[in-house]
Parts: sequence; structure tokens; C-alpha cells
Amino acid sequence: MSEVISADFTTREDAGISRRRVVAGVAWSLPVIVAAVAAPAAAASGVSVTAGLVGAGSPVTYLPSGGTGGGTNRNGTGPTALQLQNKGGAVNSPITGTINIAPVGTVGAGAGVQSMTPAALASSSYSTTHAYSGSFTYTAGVASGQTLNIPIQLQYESVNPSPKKGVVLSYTLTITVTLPDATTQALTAGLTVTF
Amino acid sequence: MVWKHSSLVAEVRTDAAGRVALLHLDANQPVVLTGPAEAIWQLIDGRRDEADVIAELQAEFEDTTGQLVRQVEGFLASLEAQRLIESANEAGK
Repeated sequence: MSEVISADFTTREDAGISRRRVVAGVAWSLPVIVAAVAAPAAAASGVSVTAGLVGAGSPVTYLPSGGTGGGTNRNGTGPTALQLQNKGGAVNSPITGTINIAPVGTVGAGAGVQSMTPAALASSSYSTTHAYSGSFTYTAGVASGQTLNIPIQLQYESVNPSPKKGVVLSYTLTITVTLPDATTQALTAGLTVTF
Repeated sequence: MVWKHSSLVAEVRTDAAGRVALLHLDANQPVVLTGPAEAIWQLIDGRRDEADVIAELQAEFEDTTGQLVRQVEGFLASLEAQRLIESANEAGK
């Protein structure tokens, strides 16, 4: 087979390894399949991922926002994980999202997310009214048919003075997940922290 | 698992740009593989199994993320889902 398709593309004539392969040490990056023509994103990507929150209302431990050793852990309730259920083809592009935790009523301290490993957490901050915002990026991919649970470790905002001991504060968690085809899914759950 | 290119896939490629364009003959939209994706495509030859493919990629690429194995497995599953590759074992039965 030697048909010339264009000036830049010719049909493959050998099954060997390219000349490029003799050079080692090229940085690895996520392999992806790219649609060659414009098309509706969902159709091109075949993304069929359903996001959800696991264990809403479960007893959970809140770590101090100052990190381990920066204060006493608190008990409370909330979801335990973000679940990504892939009913379509493998997803190899990053999945991102935003996290917002709004206090219910007036509170003296906020609640936030400490970690979502293996997703990377970024831009975590508290407002003056103790509302939390952050974002996450998950890059390890979701295989076809895989149900992935990303554990959510919650935290409470370390403030001085802290809320009175025994006070139970409530919050509303909203996670908005953005899939590689740019579609979004919003998830909500209630949180409580016993100070 | 040993993978081979689907016999229903038309392929055009350029070594200079490290790029390959693929069209499954039952599909209406071609796809393009570049970089690591194109390297994986080259290594799928009906003889190497997944471990061989991963070993060659680990020798060629510097994987600072530690995600290479998982991402290759996911990518192969994606290629299979789009019917661009098929099991060489099943094809030989």
C-alpha cells in the first residue's frame, strides 16, 4: 500500500518502531483520542459519566483546616466520597469541578474540604462569612465500566475564638463536576459539624 | 491481552509530525492520535501484549506522574470501545 493521501500524510508501509523511538526521556503525558472534525462534544467523546455523592449523612471526622496537629478533630456528618460511574468509553481527559460549602444561617466557623486524593485540590479558601470554595482536578482517567469513588476528607475552619464546645453547625455542600465534553453535573448534600 | 489494529480501520500517518489519523469504516468521523497516543498505536501490532507495550513506553517516556500504566490501560480500553483495536487472541480463533 503506497497511496499518497496528501502532501503531509502517506499510508503506513511498515509496522516497525519509528525513528523517534530511539530517543528516550520524552515526558509522558495523558494519551487521548482527538476527534478530527467539529462535532457535538458528547458524540465525539462518548462521555457517559454519572457523578454522585456516596454516604450522604454518614458520620465523618472533620480535620482542622490548619492541618494535622493544628487542632482537635471534630465529629459531624456528610458524604464520604465523590462517585464517578462510567457507562461509556474510557475517559482519559481531566475531570474538574468546583466545591462550595455555604453555612446554614450565621456561623462562627466554616466547613471545607481537606483532600480528595487522588484528585488534586486547589484554590481552597474561606470567606469572611465562613463560606468555603475550592476546586479539584482528576487526571488519572476512568476506565469503561468503572465506578470510581474519590474519598472526600472534610475539614473545619480553624478560627479564634472557635465556636462554643458542643455547638452543631450546618452547611450545604455543592459540588459541580465538569466532564471532558464540557457538560456539568451539580451535586448537593448537607453537612454538620459538632464543635 | 494482545491487541491488533481492527481490520475495519483505515489509517494515514506521518512520522515527521508523530501523528496518525484513523477512521473506522462504520464510523462517520475520523480521529487523530498524537504524542503518547500515537506511540501506543504504533506498538499495537498483534504480537506485543499489554505488558510489552507498557514496558516499551516506560523505556521511551519519562513518567513523572506515576500514572503511565493506568492511563495506558484506560487508553487501550477507549480504543477498544471505539472499535479501533481488537483482541488478537479472539481474531486468531
